[in-house]
Amino acid sequence: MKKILLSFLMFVSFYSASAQISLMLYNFRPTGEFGYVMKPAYSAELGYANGIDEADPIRSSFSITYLSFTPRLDTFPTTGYYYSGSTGSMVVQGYQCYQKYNLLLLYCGMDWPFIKKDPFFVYVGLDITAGFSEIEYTSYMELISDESYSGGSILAGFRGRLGVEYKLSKSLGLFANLERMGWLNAEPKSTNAGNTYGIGIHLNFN
Amino acid sequence: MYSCKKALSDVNDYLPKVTTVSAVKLSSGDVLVTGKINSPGESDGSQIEYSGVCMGTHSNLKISEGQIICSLYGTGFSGLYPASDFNADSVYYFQAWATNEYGYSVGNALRLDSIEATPLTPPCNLTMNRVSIGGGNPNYSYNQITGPDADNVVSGTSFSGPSVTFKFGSTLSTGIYKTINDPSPSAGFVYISFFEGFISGSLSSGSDIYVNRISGTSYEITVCSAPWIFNSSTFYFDSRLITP
Repeated sequence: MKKILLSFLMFVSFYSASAQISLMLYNFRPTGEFGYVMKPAYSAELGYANGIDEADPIRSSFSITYLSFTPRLDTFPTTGYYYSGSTGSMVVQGYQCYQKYNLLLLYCGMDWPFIKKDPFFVYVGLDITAGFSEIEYTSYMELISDESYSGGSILAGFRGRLGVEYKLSKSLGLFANLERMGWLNAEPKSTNAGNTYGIGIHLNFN
Repeated sequence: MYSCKKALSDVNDYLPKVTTVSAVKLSSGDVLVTGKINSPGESDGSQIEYSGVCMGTHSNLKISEGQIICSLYGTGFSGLYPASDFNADSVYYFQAWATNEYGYSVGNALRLDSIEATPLTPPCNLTMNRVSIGGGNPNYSYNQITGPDADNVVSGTSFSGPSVTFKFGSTLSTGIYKTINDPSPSAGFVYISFFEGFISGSLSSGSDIYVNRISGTSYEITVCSAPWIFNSSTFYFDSRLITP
């Protein structure tokens, strides 16, 4: 984790002399089936972004964050359908327990400010997401399966954004983002989604 | 998967909500368990995948124990356990359950004991393990009685008298069955055939046959003056036996 963060900061510092560092505190709220399983999580996202001003039609950005989820239930009740010649058809019960569900996410994307009234900007953005998941769970289904999983995997996805930014000064801006993210986890295979509500600051190191 | 649907604030609202409405002992000794779906789950598009009832001798039931998968009629469903599933000396628990895409939930467990049928009193008072095909033929004792077997067949033979076969259309339980002159009776009916020397026949349709469950798979079967026809003449068949 430290190595990744260090590499990211080195990349940011060499990328542009007019770079801005952003720090966003956010609440990630899982939706759909993921919202059934995991509680909302709070975290911080550290990023680099080109400056936003009236002269630039688009700004690019890179950021990194770490999310650790907590399951909403200690044990999730599950069911399966079992058939054998001796018992016939039967609905059987089971359970699934999550011990760990952590994500390390890297974002690369851009913002398009469609309202530019310096010092106020409203923008939409899109990111490509790549990262790593660390998942541990146990799963049992009567007569069918009894398994444990613990491992790391890669993931990929997209994130869309609507945001506003207000420049307090040349070196400091405040922003708020509403984001929608979906990603595909490679192992165990799953597609998940959620919304992010974040506020943050941009620091200009010109 | 990529649903935008906001997560429900109470995680239990994803699962069905089920009530075990009743577990009723019927006079036949069968138990009718009724359940109700109060909610299929409050997430968008949630629907019941399976509903049913389960039964066992302890209160912490799995849905697979003594399972009957039931069809839903509106929000209600019910399952019937035959009297042969019960021992009068044991306590039984019954529970309704339902599943949706997220998982399962169960209703409250209902407790019943002393599950046994109300004994039936036949209208005739015959001597036990005796049989007569009528028409002036003598009354014989059964010397061997077998069944009911997997095909719900009970057989009784006597040394020099009739050999009788009772073919029931369903698993035996305490109740009144109707005779039917068809070797493949449906549930609630019984086909009774016999032979004695060179005489053979089967009982006409429509007579009442009284079955009392004694214990386990032992049943008392009584036939009171049930008509059968031989050479255009009507004779009356009497029999009373207890299966082993």
